[in-house]
Amino acid sequence: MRDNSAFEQELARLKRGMRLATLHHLLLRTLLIVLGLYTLAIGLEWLVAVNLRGEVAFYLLALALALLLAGISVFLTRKRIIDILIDIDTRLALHDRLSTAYEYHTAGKASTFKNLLIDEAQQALSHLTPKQMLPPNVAPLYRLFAVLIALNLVLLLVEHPPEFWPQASRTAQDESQSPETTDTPKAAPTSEVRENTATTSADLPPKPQEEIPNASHTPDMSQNSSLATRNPALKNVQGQPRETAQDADAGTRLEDIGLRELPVQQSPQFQQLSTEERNTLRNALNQMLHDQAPPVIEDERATLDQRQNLEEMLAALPDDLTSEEESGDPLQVDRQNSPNQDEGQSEQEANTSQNRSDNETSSSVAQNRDDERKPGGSGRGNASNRDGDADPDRDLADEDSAFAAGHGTSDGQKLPPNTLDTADGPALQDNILSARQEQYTVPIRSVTQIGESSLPEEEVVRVYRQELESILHKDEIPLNYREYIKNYFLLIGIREDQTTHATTD
Amino acid sequence: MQPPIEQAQAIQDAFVQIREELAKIIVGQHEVIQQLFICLLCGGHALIEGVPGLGKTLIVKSLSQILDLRYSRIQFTPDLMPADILGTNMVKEDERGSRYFEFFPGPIFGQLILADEINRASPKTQAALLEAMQEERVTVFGTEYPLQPPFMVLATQNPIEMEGTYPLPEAQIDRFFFKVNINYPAYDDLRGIIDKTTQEYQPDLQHILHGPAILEMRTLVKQVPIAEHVKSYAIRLVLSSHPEQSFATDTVKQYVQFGASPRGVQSLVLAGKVAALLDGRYNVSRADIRAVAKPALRHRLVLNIKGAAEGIAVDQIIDELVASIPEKITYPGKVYT
Repeated sequence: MRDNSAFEQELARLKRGMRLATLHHLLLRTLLIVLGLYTLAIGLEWLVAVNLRGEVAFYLLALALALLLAGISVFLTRKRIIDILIDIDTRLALHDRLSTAYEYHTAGKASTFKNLLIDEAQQALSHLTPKQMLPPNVAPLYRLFAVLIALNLVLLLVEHPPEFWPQASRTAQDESQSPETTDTPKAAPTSEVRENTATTSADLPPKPQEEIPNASHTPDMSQNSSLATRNPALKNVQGQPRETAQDADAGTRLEDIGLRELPVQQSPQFQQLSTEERNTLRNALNQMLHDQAPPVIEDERATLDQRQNLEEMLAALPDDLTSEEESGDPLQVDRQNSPNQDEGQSEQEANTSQNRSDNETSSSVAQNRDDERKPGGSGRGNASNRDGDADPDRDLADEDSAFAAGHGTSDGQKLPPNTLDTADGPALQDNILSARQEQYTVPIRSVTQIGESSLPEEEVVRVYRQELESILHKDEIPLNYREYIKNYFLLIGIREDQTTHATTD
Repeated sequence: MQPPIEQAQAIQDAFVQIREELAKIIVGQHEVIQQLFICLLCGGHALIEGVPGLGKTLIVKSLSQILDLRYSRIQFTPDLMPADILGTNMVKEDERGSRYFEFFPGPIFGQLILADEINRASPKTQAALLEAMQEERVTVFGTEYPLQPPFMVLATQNPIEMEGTYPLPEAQIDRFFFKVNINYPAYDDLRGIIDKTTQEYQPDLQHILHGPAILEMRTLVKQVPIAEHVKSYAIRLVLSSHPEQSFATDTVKQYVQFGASPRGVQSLVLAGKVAALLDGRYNVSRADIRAVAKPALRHRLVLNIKGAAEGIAVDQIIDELVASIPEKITYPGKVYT
């Protein structure tokens, strides 16, 4: 067997360098973790007021934990020698000589060129410097190391500021005034809190007051600098009463209009109301409607349960009133007086109109009439007396007889969907009153009951699906290819014509 | 037996000599000559594609003279039959008057076969030739006739005038080791062509290699070492050409219908070994794989209708694939960082 000791020696040199690099990484990561733990300890001491760094056990524990974590990290991210060799091959453009030679040498693979390859690899390795083998990598860890060092320095300076800092002289003065001052970082905040509590004025913040005499009495400060320090504090103090008055005024105004806390949710479900609450609601509605509430308001609890909430009830109110009017009920609501209602009522009607406009939108989509559609108005209780047939003589401009969409009935005529414009039946107009007291006229044809449609879904969807599929099929063929296909068929056509002529000739 | 270093040196020297001899006839086209030589040493067949007048037939004919191989030319036409290529049994009569069948071999029984305009023959005739390429033997009336090694087919086709032709099916075109594109010559090359072809110039080509030497070189080529991570690199390159693979690039997913077959990996590795020897090295590197990627893969990628309609160049896709493979790769699935 051939002696490849020279190659093995070079590999051993590389392995030594790898071990040193591993040790370097281990130490660096250990130091980083120790610094991180030290920084954490400083933060904990400030937050929780516990003394960690004074204990020797803390340092021993931190070191042990750091070594453990660093060791695990280095183990998990360790590189194999083959990876290092591939990296060297790539960086130095050695055409994978080193890695191939190592693989064939260690795995014992056979090849006619094995020895030649190993010799070449050994020559190449012998000419490499340690820096070329394992270049120093300024990893992010180094930057983190620098950041942690800087952070710790800053924290230490904050804790133990040097005497040449201005803060240091003032702190020293404060400490001399307080007999209980100790030489710990906690002394400064303690003395500051003690002096703040000695402030007598309750209206003015203590800190500006505290700053004014201190700023002006600092012996090292000149008169101008003391005035410059004092003036902003004075402005702040003078502004305090004004700000307080403004806040109070705003609060008062809100309370006056009863909107201190605006409700977030709508009115509760009727089922959740107690009997007392229902009676209170009825009374409020009676007052709102000037004691002319329709019988629906006076109905029993079961009827109210059919409504989900106040908004739905108010939305159905005009229909109920209309049905009662048609049936000769003397109790009517003067809809012309609706603009004179309160703001609270206008808000409720805005919700009502919104619900009705949504219903109209859904019903105006239905464009087909079904013979089997039930005559009759809404399924809302008292609307059964309404005449189900659409009256062609109904005056379109009659504002008194407003209908909500979905409550009309068809005459049983079945029409294709594309004949809306020529469809029989009146173009009903519905007048919607909003909180802003504007009227919206919505023309409706082919009204249908809410929730019922005689048009099969498939009939509607089929047309759209066909259109979509045709578009998809077109888009699958690239534009360039369409011309190609067209030209191809044209070419075939020309040849066939020529052949035919030749045959006949 | 020569030491391996001398054998490797012999391959290098042979290539240099072949290139110099061909330069007497062929102007430029150094890359084409190198690819054909690599194909020869790998034991594969080459499909040469180029517009008319670029010297495809001349290159093959000159190569046959230099290599001292039995040369056959088959001009493919639409009426060519398989028997015209393979040969057929003819009825003969001996002295006593009895008749017997005698096999008359076709032009396929050469060593260097030029299949000119292979896409003009019917698929049936193409299949007869391709069977010989794959098996290196011919079966006629149930009798097998082996072909003499080294056996190499150099097929040519014209990329324009595709009407009236029978394009090779993907399954059959995959049997070619390399697809060599001959590009239009440059200004200086055209001047050399004029000097060589329009004047009284008849150079004599010398024999550089013969059959047994080529066979020895083929054996030596297979001995070249290749590391596992280089194999991973070649595998990754081929898998990236498949649109359903996670390695595939966006271009592959958009324009490629079928990627390279396992023959593509074989071509990459074998061709990489020859490329390493020609470069004076004794191992295959990732750079060698990249150098032979285009001739080895360009005919194995099947574009979809969108790619064909938009005129996407397969070489461009291969360049993107090569660029997408991370340089630092070790064993399959693991990227060295």
